[in-house]
Amino acid sequence: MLFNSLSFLAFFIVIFFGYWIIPLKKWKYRNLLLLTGSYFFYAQWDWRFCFLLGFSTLLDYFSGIIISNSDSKIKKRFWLFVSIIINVGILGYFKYVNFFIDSFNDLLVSVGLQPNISTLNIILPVGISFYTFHGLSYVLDVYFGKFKVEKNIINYSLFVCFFPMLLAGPIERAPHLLPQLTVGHRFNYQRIVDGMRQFLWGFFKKVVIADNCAMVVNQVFQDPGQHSGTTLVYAAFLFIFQVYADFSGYSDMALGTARMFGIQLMKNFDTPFFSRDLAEFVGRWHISLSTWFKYYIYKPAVKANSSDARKYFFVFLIFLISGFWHGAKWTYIMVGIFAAIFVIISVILRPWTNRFVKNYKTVTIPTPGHIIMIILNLSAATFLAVIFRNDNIHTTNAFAYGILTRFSLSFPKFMSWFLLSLILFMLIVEWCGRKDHHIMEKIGQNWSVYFRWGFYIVVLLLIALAMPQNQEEFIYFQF
Amino acid sequence: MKRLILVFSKFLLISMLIYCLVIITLYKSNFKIFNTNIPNNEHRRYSFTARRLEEFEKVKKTDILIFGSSLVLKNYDSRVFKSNDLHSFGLGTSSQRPSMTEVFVKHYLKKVKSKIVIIDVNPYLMLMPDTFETVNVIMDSKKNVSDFELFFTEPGLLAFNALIIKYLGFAETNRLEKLNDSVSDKKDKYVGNGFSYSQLVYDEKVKTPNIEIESLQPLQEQVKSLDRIIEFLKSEQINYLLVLSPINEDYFLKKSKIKSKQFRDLSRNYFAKYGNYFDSNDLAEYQKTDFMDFSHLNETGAKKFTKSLLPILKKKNIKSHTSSNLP
Repeated sequence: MLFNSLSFLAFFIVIFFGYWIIPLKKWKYRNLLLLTGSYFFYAQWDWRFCFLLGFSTLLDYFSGIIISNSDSKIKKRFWLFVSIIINVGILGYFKYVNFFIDSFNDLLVSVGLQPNISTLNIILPVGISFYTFHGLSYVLDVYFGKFKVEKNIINYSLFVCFFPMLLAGPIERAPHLLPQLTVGHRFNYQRIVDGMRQFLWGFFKKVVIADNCAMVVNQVFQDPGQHSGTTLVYAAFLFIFQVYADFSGYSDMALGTARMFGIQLMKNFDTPFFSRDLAEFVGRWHISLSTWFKYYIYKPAVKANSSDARKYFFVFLIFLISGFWHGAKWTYIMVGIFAAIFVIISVILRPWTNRFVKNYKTVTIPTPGHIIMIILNLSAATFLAVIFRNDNIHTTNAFAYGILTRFSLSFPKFMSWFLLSLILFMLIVEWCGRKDHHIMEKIGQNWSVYFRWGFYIVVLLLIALAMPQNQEEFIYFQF
Repeated sequence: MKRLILVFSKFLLISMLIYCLVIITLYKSNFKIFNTNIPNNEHRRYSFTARRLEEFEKVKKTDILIFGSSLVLKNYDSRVFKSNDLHSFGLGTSSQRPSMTEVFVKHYLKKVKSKIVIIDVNPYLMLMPDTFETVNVIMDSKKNVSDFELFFTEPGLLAFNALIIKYLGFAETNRLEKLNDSVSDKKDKYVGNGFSYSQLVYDEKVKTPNIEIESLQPLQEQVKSLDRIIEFLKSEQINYLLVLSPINEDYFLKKSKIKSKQFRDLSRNYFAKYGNYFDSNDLAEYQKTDFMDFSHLNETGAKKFTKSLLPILKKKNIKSHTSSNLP
């Protein structure tokens, strides 16, 4: 059940009205409804994995209670490790076991042996990386005393599997989300309309930008050897817009949906294209994941007085883990390594870049310096995206080889001015809304109702007219 | 809540009005940039859908009703059936999957009960997630309830827009114009009773669609539809045949990623369990000269294929209405 499907619309209408019809005093029943709805939503992919989700939830719920109730430090630590090992073990089994088998086979082949270890037929449960991280963050926060244990199992379960964020984040931390689930929310017209606006913008990005880019990207990446260097570069640039529009679109839809229930999820993207350097770009991309790593790995390991070498080492480590978090592929690990190198270089160069490029949020119109940085960041991100998109290092090399050897000054195949205009439209709108909590938060708020509605209708019409017939699944569902 | 419902309803109403206006304008003007989700009048015109559906409205009795993909239109030669004293009608439409066939079977069998129903089965169509081929049926038929059922088999904006255009009365002129079609731009000639032929011969140099099979698991939705069709036919006591049309060995040998044996095995796996399944490739031998393209038969092939079905029909005791002794 995708956000951009009729079945989701029907599901949402039922849950939305059901939720607000329940009186505020009985808000616990609202949570129960959301929880039931979330499991129903998850079961649409594969009902069997609801048991896994339930198990993971119960494990962290009871671990949290035992850790909180225990006076013994050893017992606390023991249950923390139980939770971490089982959670990471489940994640490792579903996500990484075949990767290790393949890599081990390759290693044996490289030393002249002929291994006969076959991979396992494992289906990856959708959203496992996201809900495992929700649970882990909660147990860690309870252990370190940063968050009081949640004794209500319904509230806690909802924290783990609230349907808007269940499949592709944002990855929430208990101190941010759980307190919102332990109180009733008053019906707020403005907030609901605001949620709808955010959903609309996310929907536009997903079905218009991402899915149209995907049509070109899929054809070119499927067989890079058949295309000119210009076409490969064009497709690579389109892919970065596809991933951005797909994932940030999903996040906007998730945040918008949650806001319609009075719940504020964590911001996941902050107009990364308008960054002064790649470090800032990365920091504004998938914010909830980088925040997670910052809280649970970087901050405990690096103090204010730590040496630069230690800081850079942990930056490198986090990017490496982040690459691996995306999936069991060498290309993801390579993306992590290159991203770390780019980020470290841009942090070193930051005093220099900051001198001639002001913060984007303080200017009205981008200066030439801003435009140069946008192009540089975009190029670096596209480089990473090419590795990310290819299945293996061999196809990545073929892609790079194609760019270098078949490049000529000609129009790329599949070139569409219409698609490029849509991307430009997206960038202009994002520029206008870059200072706000979400892009559509203030756009049109000071306009007369005719212009405001006119703008929404234009966006809706663009969706209806430019949406491709074949809908792509969200890219981050595979993680 | 009341305010939200009121404002949202108002917005929805205004949006829908503007939306309908834009759709109709774009449909009429044929503006190229925004045509992704606007039905195209010329789309699949060579399949004579308007003419065939209109013709079927006048049919009172028939011996054989044939459902399935575009193979029905090209492969089941109504003249061969007629020369054997059998009346047939082909209601195949492009990429007609079981979910669509289900709507067709229930809708058209209510009007005309045939003695036997032939469903041209194709394993590809059990695997394809989206086809969006309901649109030309919606656009080329008279208004009827099954339009909405068809929409829900493959819901999408294109089909939704087709409904808007049709029910606001903007599709009728084009439909009436198509009723006179007898030769398509591809030189297919429409004979009647849902059959058209071509005299082209398969040319392997002509680009063929790149059909890929990613998973061998049939879509559950399609399996359930086929289950319901068979159940319905049994409950109505109508004989049925599931037929795999002839396959172009030359195409499978040189161009297809899967081989003909795999394809036929897949078909048997999916359809033999329903009984009355026939792989036409066991009934006669086909050369590449029997095909007009990578999958459809030409006139020679269609004759050969239809003749090969006659003994099966005879065994099933299917005779013309005048000499029928079936219940």
